[in-house]
Amino acid sequence: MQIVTMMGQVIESGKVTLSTKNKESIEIIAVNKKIDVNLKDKDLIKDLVLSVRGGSKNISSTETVKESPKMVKAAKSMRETLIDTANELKQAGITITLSYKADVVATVGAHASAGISRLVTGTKAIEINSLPKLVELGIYIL
Amino acid sequence: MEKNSNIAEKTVHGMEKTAETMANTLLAIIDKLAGKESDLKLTFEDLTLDFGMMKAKLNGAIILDIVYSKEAETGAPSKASKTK
Repeated sequence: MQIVTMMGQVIESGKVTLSTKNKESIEIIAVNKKIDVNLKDKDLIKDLVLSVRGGSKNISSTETVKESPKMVKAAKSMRETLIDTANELKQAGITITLSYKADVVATVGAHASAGISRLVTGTKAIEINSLPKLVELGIYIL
Repeated sequence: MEKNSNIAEKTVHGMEKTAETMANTLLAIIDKLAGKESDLKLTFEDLTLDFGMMKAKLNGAIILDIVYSKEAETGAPSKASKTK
């Protein structure tokens, strides 16, 4: 079982806020198997996505070329994990929505109704609600 | 009896894994904030956790003050290698 699914089952309700420099960055609200992750600080999210991928913002173009295979490998593994997690969430009846400044960007799990995005993700459990905003956040692993 | 101990063991294992993931996420955030003299505040508001055998309600905040004065230098000879 993926850790996100486990956490989705453990968290019953409530709110968790992550703030940096007295500014709210991430807000998580859970109610009845529905978890809304509201991203508020774009830069922090971009940094986190980069760190998960194993890349860095402040590197030269030569280093970027050198790091590319490693980053592609990490992105591929992250994509597989995300698809597995989404399918598990669907089976467990849990829905996670990813929002940016209160607009829904993506829906993962039980209430996701993937349309054309299913051809890209290969699963019904991931719905992309706003591709431009997803790219804006630097989340383009799918 | 044995069944109960198995459930308890699984619950504890699940809690350990959850804590580990939360710690890893925090570590990634702290790493990104290093050197920026900023703080990190995690606020819980009526967060209800259900571990099967028991329920927990969290209220409050965890604040981490991060002040890294200087990044570690690389390539410079260490004091230990200079003095014999």
